[in-house]
Amino acid sequence: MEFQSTGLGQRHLDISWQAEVAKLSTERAQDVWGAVLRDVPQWLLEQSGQRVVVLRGETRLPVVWRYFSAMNNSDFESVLKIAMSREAINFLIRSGQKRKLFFKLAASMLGFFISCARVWLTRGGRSTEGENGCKI
Amino acid sequence: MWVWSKGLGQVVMPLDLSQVEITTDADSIVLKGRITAPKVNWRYSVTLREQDISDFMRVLNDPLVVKYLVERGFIRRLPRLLVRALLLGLFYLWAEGSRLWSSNQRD
Repeated sequence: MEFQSTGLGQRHLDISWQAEVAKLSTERAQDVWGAVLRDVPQWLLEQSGQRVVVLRGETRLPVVWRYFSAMNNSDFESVLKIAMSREAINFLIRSGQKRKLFFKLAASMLGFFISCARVWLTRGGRSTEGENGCKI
Repeated sequence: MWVWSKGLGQVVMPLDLSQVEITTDADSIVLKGRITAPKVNWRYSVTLREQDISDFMRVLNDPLVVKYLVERGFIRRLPRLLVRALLLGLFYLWAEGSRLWSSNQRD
């Protein structure tokens, strides 16, 4: 994905989600912030109680920098909603060339739903952590 | 979602993905939003291409991520997402079918 922000000026970051170039892990948010920030600001500390999924790697050319992106369950839900938004479907429909991508997405989505159900069933339908990372 | 990169120094950027404006062009989906945190009020855009979408789905299907999500009660949100996915899938197939049917009619 190409990430551009006012804070980056004229540069943009080309971040890859490929497993070969990014390392995936789940960690406590406070450890993730603490590894790169000298002083973790208060507003960020308030969001530190939870575990997050972290992708670490190096951005691709033209700017090669270390990066991480951290996501919680709400973020995954938001991305899924974006993937299933009207705009995304229009994107797939508008060009007839995207059939392969549609079927790939549908298969991945189905695989994801099945994996979730399988893991949930093998755990006996238990959730071990609440929304904020507290054991319940 | 939080993004940090070496070039940002001591800033971790919080991105609220539930509040994005979605636009598309011929080969990408563009998400636009605002990063708001103390001392930061920046616009941002994320451009997703086909490869990024496939890569994200691979991340989503990683056993580590599935386990993480299930542990956090994500299963409760699945039925609604599943219904939405099915409806959109059917809509896509209907649109594609109509396109094929009308092109056959022209031939």
